[in-house]
Amino acid sequence: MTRNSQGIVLLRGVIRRLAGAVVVLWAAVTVTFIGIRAMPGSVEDVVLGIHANEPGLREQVRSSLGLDQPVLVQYFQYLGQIMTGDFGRSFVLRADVSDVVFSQLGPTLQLAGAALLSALLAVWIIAVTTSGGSPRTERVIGVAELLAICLPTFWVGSLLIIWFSFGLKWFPASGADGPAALVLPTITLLLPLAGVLSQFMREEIGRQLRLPYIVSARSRGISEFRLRNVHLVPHAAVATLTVAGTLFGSLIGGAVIVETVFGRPGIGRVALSAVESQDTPVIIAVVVLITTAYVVISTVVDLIALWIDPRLREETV
Amino acid sequence: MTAQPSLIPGGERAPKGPVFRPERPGLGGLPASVWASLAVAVVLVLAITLPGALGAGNPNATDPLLSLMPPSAQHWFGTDELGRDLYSRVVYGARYSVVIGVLAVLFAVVVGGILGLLAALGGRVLDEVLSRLFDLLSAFPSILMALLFATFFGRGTINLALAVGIAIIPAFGRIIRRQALAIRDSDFVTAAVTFGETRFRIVLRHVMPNVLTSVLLLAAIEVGAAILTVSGISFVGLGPERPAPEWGSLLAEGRTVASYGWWPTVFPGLAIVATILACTTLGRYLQRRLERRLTA
Amino acid sequence: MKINRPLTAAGGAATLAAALLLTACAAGSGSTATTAGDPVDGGSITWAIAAEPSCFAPAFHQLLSDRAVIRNYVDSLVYQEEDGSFTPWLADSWEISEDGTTYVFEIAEGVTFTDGEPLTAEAVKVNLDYTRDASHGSTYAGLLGSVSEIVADDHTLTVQLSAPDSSLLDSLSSVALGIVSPAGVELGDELCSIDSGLAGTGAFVLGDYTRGDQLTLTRNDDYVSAPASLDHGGAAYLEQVTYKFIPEDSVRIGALKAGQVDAISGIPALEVANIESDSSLQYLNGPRTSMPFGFTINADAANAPWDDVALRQAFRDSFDVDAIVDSVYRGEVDRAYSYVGGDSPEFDESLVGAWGNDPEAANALLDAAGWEERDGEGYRIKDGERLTLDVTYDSDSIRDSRDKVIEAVQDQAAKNVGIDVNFTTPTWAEVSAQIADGTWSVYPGSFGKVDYANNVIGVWGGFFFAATEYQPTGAIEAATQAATALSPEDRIAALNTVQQELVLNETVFVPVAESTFQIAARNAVGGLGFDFSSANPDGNYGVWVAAAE
Repeated sequence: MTRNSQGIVLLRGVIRRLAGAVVVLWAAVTVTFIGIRAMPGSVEDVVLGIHANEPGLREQVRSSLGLDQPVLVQYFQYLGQIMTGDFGRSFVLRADVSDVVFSQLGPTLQLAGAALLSALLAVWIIAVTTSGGSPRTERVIGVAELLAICLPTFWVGSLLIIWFSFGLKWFPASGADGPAALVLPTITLLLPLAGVLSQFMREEIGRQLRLPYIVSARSRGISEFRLRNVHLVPHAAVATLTVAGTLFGSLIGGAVIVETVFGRPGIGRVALSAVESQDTPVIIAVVVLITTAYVVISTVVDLIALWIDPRLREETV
Repeated sequence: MTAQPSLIPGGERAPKGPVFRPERPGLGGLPASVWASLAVAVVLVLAITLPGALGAGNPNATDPLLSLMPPSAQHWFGTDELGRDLYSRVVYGARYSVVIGVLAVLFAVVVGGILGLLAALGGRVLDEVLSRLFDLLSAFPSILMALLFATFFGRGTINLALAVGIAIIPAFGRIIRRQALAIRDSDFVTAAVTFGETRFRIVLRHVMPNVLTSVLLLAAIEVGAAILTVSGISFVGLGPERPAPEWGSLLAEGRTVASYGWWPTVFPGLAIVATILACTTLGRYLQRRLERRLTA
Repeated sequence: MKINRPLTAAGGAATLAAALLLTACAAGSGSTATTAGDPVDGGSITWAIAAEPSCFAPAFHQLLSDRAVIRNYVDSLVYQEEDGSFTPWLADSWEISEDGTTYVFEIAEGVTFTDGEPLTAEAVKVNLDYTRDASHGSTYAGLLGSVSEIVADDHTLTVQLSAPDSSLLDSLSSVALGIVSPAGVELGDELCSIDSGLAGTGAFVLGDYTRGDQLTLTRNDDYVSAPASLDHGGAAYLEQVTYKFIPEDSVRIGALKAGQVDAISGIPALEVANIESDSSLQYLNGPRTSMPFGFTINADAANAPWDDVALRQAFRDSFDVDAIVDSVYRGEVDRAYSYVGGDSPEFDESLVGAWGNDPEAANALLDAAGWEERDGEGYRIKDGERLTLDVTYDSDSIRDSRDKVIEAVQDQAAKNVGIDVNFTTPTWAEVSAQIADGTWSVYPGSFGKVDYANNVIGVWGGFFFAATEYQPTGAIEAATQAATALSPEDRIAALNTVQQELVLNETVFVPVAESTFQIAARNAVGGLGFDFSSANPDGNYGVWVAAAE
């Protein structure tokens, strides 16, 4: 394959994925719109609350929310607004939805980033120190991974608070004030991530150990440490990284629970309270935000994979 | 996901229990961990079908005089603030946690199966669309999905099962699509086509049986993950209606009385962990067995 | 956290009758012994509170608990004392005409808002006129429903009423009608956010705010407008006040015990013993002046068979309120007897012991009503229909272990008399839609410290029974008398009738538990207390923190 045709294949891959991304976003927005219209009770009931039966108020609220227009008109208005990044005003939080959501993005990104990075670091350390170890070590690690995946996040979080915050008083129990407040939530969130990643990493390393290049490197008398750090783990890490991309959903889902347990600000908590109070503009914004983030991440991961793995390119053709 | 990174991230490759050395065989050629998991499974089935046989009474009977009693001969797991027997509640809780988890997986198997077959056999465009759908569904946080479901359709056991199930559809959709493709292109199907069988009959007679085994194994693992999600959703307050003793709700209740005693927090937590470990262990053990048989 | 909570307010923050009421209100109970010693100048305090205010503008705040935060930067025209009487605050003095329809307030001179604007009668008028105009959407417009015109002349404010309003001063003492700088009033609910230029005349100034995390207020060093009756004038003791928002009860309490915060509000009854056993902490329980928690039952034919008062009475007496409240709240919360809080001067003592926990009588009533047969599960049936009472509580509003209380009632009603209580927790939109069209069944809830007369007119008449054929006519008529009563005696007599109508005669309200606010704090914190206009924790004007030993 020439360099040029390779480039064309890559470009086609990019265009296809971008088109797919747009469709996915549109679908998510549309499904949310339909869902909100289908919900029991209506948006105006949420807004009216106790004033439901005050004469004239219902009409006033309906027209201010644009609910008195035909559904299709409402739908296109809504699409148009979302495309310009205008999510309207939250009638529960009494603030611009964009302000609310973006102000809560930071803490969630911090948490998710810290959890993902430390999970990767932990997995790297485990892989380097234990790969090719004794069967006993393997089994212990295997059990540890299983536990990390199976322990309910909300249980672990509560226990960590009881021990390390209330008991030993090492870390604050809640809030987002400084790095100390990030420690316990990060540990809680990283456990299941590290469990899954470690399984993949070790599986990948096991596969690579049987590959010819390792065998030949060994025969060249390369040190075991160098072999693992320079050859084995990096190779396995690239494969694992693409898996890490698909863990996005787990990461956000985990953030909802971790933010609730630790009382941290963030998108997860905003989403939960928006659902509880049926604050539809915020719900829509969160859905759009998460779908967008997913689309961006998965497109990037896809493209990296496409770039790394020639077989995928052929498939695309 | 959050609870549980779906044990099959991306649903593509099931972790094979990394470089697990063959486990030391125990009684009857089965490792001890498998025996333990089987025992848990038996207890769960009993808890769901015949809770009385496990000594559980009415899980909702209150007794204000006996509130928050520690574990004793009468109340093995102690009582909660209304004096309800926690053992009975944990046992009856299986009817919610496990049943909803299983329903979610069943739903995912059926819908994922149909979509997977459509993707494999329905042509290129459909395949592309469905693959994108699978990508989105597997990445969309299932907790959020459940939250949205609760908003749009109200709460309830079935809605919860559907919401959790939707997130697992891709795992099954993909595995079935892949297997169906592999089988479609395999020699014996080609042979069948030349013998004039219809597409539908091919799917029914050749594709389905081959796919079923791997689906069942994946299902065993996914049930564990689904239970974890269900209890997480109940924990944040969107589970089955009170006074249903779903395990996640029990844990949330236990947390509010944590300064009074450890038992309301510990026993439901152990029930969740034991159940998930059992499902996962059994699923993986069978998967390894199957692989060994295939490679042998 | 939604529009229904303002309920609280719709009826009014107002409770206590006119200024002349001198009936003593029992103060909150609790261990108030502190080791904080004499007031200390300087320092800071960190509070942990459960709910983050969604709006900091008085006219648009939503939760009663928001008032504790807003009070720090906002003053009111009049100050409500512990005994329910009113003393000067931003108004130096006032006069009420004989017929009770004209109020003339003299507004304090020399007071400025923290944005530099002077406080004048015109500034007060701008605030009140904005809030009472229903088209502006303030939840508290109803508080000024009786006002027909407000005239400002330099520092004299004349409020003209269309009819006597026995709760006007109470309304004016509440945070909801607190006065902010007129510069931003026209912004409406855009004024909610702190950076919109929100400024009051209060002892503290709004400072740094991180949504979802915390709010910091700093001392207003030029503060001169403290309520006249307080023995400390001038600026507050504390230099800085921080509110952290920690929704999870156990985390909030743990943070206090671990020394991460100085004071918390909202203490579950189950945790009280835990706090009281800690010698470094103090616990304060607020006055029982709020409307108790209880079941509001739809008596309309749409909720048949519960349109039969005998059935409602049977349900009311089918469970042991004392035992349930005692077990769920570990003796820290009192059972309720009436629609009015037990510490309120309007409370009707005759209701004590007049109803409740009488399964025998309840069974007799049900038998007599033709529900004699039982099905396999022990529930009563008639014509093949099970005797079911639907209780819907929007999940977002559940707090204070109320779900536990309802589960206990559910169990006892089934066991004692065979009523199937079907308890569900749908979304607010669903509950709200059912109430709007009159098809609701039972709503368990309470509305905080309300103006009892206006609450019956607005919430019972205008909300629960707005779409039903059935009307609690007796209660509404008596409430109307109370609202326009010219003497406190008349008002109390009318409100006694209201309580008997709601609880005994019509049984559309079954009281369960008294509703109070609580504070727990380190012993080093002195001067803590409650804002008697809302029964909520007060602002931090009189609070100090003793230096560590």
